[in-house]
Amino acid sequence: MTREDEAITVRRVLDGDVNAFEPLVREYEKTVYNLALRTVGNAEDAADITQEAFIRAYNSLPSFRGDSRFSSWLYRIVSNLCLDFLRSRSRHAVVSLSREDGEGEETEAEIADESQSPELLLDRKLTREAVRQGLDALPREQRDILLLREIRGMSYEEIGEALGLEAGTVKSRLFRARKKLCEQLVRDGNIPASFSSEKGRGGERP
Amino acid sequence: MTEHEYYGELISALLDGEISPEEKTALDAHIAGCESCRRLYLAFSSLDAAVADSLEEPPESLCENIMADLRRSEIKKKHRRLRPVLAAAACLAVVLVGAAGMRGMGRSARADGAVMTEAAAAEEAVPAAAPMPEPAAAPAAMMPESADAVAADFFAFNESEAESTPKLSMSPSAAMAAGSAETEDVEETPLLDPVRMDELREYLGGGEADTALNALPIIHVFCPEDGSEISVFRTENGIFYTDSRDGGVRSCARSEGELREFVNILTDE
Repeated sequence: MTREDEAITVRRVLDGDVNAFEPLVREYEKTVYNLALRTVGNAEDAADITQEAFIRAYNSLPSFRGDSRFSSWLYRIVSNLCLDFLRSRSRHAVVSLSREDGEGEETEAEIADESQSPELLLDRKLTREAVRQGLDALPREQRDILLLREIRGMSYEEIGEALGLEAGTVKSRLFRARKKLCEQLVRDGNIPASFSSEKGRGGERP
Repeated sequence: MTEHEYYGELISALLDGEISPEEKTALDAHIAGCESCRRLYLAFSSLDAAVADSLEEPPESLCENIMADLRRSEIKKKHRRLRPVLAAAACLAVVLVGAAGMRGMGRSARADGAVMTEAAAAEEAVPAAAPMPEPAAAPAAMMPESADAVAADFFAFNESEAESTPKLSMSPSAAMAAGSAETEDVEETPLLDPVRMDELREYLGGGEADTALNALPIIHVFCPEDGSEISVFRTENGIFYTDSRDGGVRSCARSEGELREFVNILTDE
């Protein structure tokens, strides 16, 4: 859905056509669901968060100015809901959220170990489950940016709107996120189910 | 930034379609002689495909649930907006007759054993009101000419609302009977128009029903515009409604709790 399509759709909804909202739900439910799923870790809560996100978006649509993409705006709603959820669950994964402002990430130490270089990924057969676990183990800002990229037509600028970043920062963060995910998958081609984001960030696994 | 990182970022941007022609030229020249970057490009490409492939499908009913939720709340919102009109409406009657079973759920102050009829409710609210139809009349007869519309005991459902009954029973017919200036103002206001009647139908849902309705309606809504009426009945076999447009009797899909909530929305201040 292009920005123009979104604007037209949003206008129709604001004019009182509740059913006009459905294409927006259809367009973004998968991304929203996966963002929530990878953050909260179970399908039921992810579905609840997705539903709540769209209902909130609908109810606050009058405050949507249209100076950003609907998807960027929606992401911020989802992101807040996920944060609220994690806080209320107060599980240890919150650790990775303390770096939410993203500033720390850019100074993150590079992994110099060439044995974990992304290129080696080519020799691995990636299962869906391994990729999911790899995503789960990423810091949230890196995971989210990779998932936002999955929204067709989201430019770096628009992803930046969603995350509150400059387009240049989006570019470098996406590179780092890809690199880190590759490294994780290389390092751990056979990730056990118990692999948590805590351990993943330590990077001590053989 | 190392050279490797610089080209790594370009490779990443290339995959996202976010690379300038100049950068593309530079990258092509570099990759031609750099095995490591070539492999990085391939690794990132397969990673992107793997990430896309790893996305999980949301539950099939999710979108449907979201839309159903929104439609419901939209109907409620519209009825909230409609409420002031309802309260002052001279020619709209929403008549709630507390059938014995329904009353059991509600206010004990009314537990005088008698079925609360519209006539009784109106009498209580406006002693001088126009003549009322017989309490036990058939549903069609229970809806008199709109000008003679009666007050309702809307809150036979809800104990907590008991004290507000007198004020509310003043609503449509009392204001009218008093011939207040307010009434004259609102006489031109469009009331429960066909569109809103359709919303009500949508709200009620409705499935097949094959039942004889001997009960008194618990909700009765009249549309002056097209003359259609909807009556909701509670029977031993569940909740039903009749639609005068087609004479159909349908089983209401809503639960009793929701129906009660709906009535409160219609009538609550």
